[in-house]
Amino acid sequence: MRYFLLILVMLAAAAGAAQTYPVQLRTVEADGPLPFVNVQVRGTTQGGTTDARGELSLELPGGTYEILASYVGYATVTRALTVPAAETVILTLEATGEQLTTVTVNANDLRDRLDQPIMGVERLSMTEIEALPLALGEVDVLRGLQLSSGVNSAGEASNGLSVRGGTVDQNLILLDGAPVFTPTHLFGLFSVFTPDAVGGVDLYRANIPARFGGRVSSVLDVRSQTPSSDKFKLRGGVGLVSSHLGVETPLTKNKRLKLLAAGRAGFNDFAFQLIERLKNTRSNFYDATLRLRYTANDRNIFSYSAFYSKDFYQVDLINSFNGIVSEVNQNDYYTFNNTFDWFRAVSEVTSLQLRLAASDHEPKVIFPQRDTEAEVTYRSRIRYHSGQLSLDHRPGGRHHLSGGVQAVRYDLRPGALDAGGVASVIPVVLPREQAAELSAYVEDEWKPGDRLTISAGLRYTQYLQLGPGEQRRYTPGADPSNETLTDTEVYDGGQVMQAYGGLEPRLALNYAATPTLSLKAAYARSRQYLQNIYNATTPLPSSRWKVSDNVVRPQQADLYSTGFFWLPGEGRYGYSVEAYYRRTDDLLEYRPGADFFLARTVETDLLQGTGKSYGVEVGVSRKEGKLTGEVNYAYARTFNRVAGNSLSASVNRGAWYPGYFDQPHTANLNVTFDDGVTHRLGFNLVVQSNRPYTVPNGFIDIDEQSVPLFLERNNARLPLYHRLDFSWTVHNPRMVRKRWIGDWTFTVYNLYGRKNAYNIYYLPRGAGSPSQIFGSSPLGSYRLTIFGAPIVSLSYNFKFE
Amino acid sequence: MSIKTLTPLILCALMGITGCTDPIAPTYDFRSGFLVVDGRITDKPGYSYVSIDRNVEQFGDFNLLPQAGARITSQDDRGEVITWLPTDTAGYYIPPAGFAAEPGRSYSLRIEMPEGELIESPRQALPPKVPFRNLRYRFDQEAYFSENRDRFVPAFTFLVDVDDPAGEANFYQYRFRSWETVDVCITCRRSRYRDGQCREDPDTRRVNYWDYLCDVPCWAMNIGAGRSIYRDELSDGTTVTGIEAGRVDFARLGGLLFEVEQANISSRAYEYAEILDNLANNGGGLNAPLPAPLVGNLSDASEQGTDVLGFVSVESLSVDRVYFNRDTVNGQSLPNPYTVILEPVIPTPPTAPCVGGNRTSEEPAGWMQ
Repeated sequence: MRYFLLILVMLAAAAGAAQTYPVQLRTVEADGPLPFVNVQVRGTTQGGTTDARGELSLELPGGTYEILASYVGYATVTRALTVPAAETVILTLEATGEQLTTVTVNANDLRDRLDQPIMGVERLSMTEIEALPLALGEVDVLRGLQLSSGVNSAGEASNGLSVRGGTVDQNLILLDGAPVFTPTHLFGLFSVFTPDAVGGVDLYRANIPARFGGRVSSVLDVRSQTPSSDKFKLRGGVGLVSSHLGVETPLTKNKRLKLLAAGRAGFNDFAFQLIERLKNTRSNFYDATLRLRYTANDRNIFSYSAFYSKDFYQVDLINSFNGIVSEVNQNDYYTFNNTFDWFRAVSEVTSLQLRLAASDHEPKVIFPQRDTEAEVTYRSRIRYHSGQLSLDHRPGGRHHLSGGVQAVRYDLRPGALDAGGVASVIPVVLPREQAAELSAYVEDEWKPGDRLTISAGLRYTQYLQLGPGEQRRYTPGADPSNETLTDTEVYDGGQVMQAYGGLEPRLALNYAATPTLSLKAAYARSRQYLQNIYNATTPLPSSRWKVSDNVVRPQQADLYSTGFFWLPGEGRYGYSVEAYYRRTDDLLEYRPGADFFLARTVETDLLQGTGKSYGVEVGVSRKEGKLTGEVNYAYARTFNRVAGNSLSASVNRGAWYPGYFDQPHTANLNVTFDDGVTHRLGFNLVVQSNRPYTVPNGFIDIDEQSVPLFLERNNARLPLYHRLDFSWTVHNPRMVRKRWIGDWTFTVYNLYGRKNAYNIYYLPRGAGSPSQIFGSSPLGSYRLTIFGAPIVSLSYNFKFE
Repeated sequence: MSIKTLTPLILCALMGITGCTDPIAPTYDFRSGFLVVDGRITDKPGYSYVSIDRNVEQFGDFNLLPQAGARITSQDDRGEVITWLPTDTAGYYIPPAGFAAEPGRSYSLRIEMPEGELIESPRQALPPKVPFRNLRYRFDQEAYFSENRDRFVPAFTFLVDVDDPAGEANFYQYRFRSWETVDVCITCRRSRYRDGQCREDPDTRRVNYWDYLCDVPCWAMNIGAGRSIYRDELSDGTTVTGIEAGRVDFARLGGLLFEVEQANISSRAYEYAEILDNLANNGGGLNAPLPAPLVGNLSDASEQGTDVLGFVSVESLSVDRVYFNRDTVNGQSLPNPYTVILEPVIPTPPTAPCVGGNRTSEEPAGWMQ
């Protein structure tokens, strides 16, 4: 790798009083020098970036030092150094999962967090994720992020995330730059990302870089691993729910073309046969990632990645779905993403990257008909195409400039019903929706002085809803309904039906008040033109997507954050405090009883309102030594307000009410003990205010049946959530260095079996309901728990090199 | 779109754990001061009614008090006003005998409360009647899973067919009731039945209970809980077969007379019925629809501005009955732990009259023996 990629920020220069000696450093990888590597001398303000030949000269006083060399996509190397040193110090880096990207921050290292202006970024390497205790022993990207402040699960078994109180669809989830619209398998149990192919994960929840746009809450940037090995490598694992396998190998003799292919499959039908009530349930899933990388020469690199994920499940269910008579629902959905990258180093300070990305998501719900072979099939589809050209320029001095343009097109099929030969079902095809987002962005990371770093970005997006289509207009000021429809206009293909746009400024400041204390502040505006609509707390894979139109306005959020990071003493412990306030305009809510299944005029069931979220997150982390971990606490509130013209177009009569993910107090503790040889023990404790839910305001008998009466939403809170997990990994138990290395991982999720409530709901009392619990209430109340007992699992993972 | 208990079931299976739902003591956040009105104006004499309740909180308890003394009128599009009448049941009003909504007419309802509220429903046309046919039943030994019983329940599902007319949106709502014979007309606990009453005496202290047979053939009527709904959006103009109109558990043997009442309703009434269905049946699971207030088509036009929940609909009714004998069903009924114990007295124990509840000694129309 002889190309320019990255310069990390240098520590402020400080003059040493003692005599200094020259030290020559060289950073290399397996097949030659590795240029532009960030080098730091621990405990000093000395450091720098190696040049195009991978070389760096420093002046250090005599003594013993520890040197760190870090480079994105490579494992950080630590090495002891005694000064004066007679020879050039060689630092050899090994690739872990490098990604072709021109602007990258590494907030993993505590010292970097001190220096970087960016706030609210969480980075997880796969090594860190694998170390976390997990339900059912499955490696999981999203679950790992939930240990961070301000990142909550959308539900115990849900891999959807709520970031700082936002809803699930307010997060942009990208895999190699292509969005993943349903990031979970098994209806939310695991994230879809192939375990052996994830290279790294960044979650931006405060200062979203200008190159990202389109969601108002956060950006989750997942990158597949770059094939970098010169040898054949095999890795895999066998677990309770799924098994996985990955290979990495060069494909050509000159090793310019390398491949990584990995897959995972879970076939769980056998488990359902064991339980009487679930004997008709079926479930299986698989996913696969392929990555090719071709290093044409020292200035051009081409990369291609593909991702495919598929789920199928069936459950006994009498559910008429607005008139489709069926006893069983089968859910079947896939995601197919493709990304092509061309990286070109124009000069030693300038590089270009072209990225073409496509995403295709097709959920189906199948209704097999009784006593026949016929099936009624509902399907919808969302396709995404993006072309992005970015430029990165480091003119030297105190500026680091980047910018680019991006064009995105969305093609939505909101829903179609295939009668499948059933005479009493009419095929339905809802009109397609099209939209384009044209964006340009610039960003400058500027150090005007030794202490201040400013990252200023500006993004402009022009959004266009495109024909063909039908635009419905309603009486201005009135709630959209069939009664207030005034006229309908038909547009031809390519015509602009509705346009929105605006500047999205992003600004971040980092001020080094002292060498160990940084003060930070950030502001970000973002807009969201694509929404997922579902009249529930969390979406289904088949939940409908909707582009903004003349009635459904884009959501817009302004996020202000400030805080500090303190790294005292030797830098073993880092302390952070962040406070934020986010105001969201035109957030989406649903009319009471909204139903979007094959609905033609969804805008009449949508409401838009205002949201506000605020909170403070404090944390202490330690990332060195045998004992590492983090303790954090977040106070976070989120409220919505929807004031329509009538009772049915308002929520809670137009007053502020707690958002669906308003969880005021969250404390996380995770601790890992790694003896560095064989054993790694991990504990993870979560204590959290649970989500709001709605208790009835009364009850009523209609048609000999008691039903709950609700006048308001989210008027109560589920009982406190807390959980302790444990994991124990035995690495290479025989401790023999062989080509085949195996790890056993034993995990217990919910160690003390807390029955945390996912939801509490009310139903009419049926025959045999327990009167000692329900008393005289005409309604029964039920607590739904997802993991109500300790979940023990054992998995075996191996590597062959 | 609700997928009720899908995920919990999958998760339970994966973990080998059943019972992910636990019954807990219900809590409420009682609100008071609203009115609940449930009513319908139908084209079948004897089927129209309006019930009015006012929600009052007394000593921390939630109460829905039937509201007597309301003045209720209905008006059709010709301006004809009909005054409704109170019944023996407080808060329950019916139109004069023989009243039936007529095809092509539209109707509104006006309620004047003694407390001053003025509740009005919008004028609604009588929806065109689309009669159903081919009422039949289907037996499934494992019709559905009951959380309370923790088992699959055998049940009869009643099905109808509809020739849906093309070119118009039709909305269907089904209610049902059933009749079966009863043998025991009274049960006396720690007592014996004499002179029309259960009487205790020293001899009966050790008796758990005695049953007394009915003195005449006796039928009990059961009103089906809830409604089921269907719309023709995806089947306009076709013959729709197998619409599920109701379900009865297979809990005992003997004859069963089942009546289906189909109402053709408006789109707004359908939306309301859908909310009701979600509240009654779809509250559980991971993706339950958000709880919705039962805001229907009523509002208080007075200055008091009292919130009014409920719906007054205008409905075209079709009714049919089917009789069958459950003895011939090829399946196993739910276990019936109840044992009839007759008083051991010579020559025969006394019998009890067929009265009370929904009992009748008059053979219901359609009963076959």
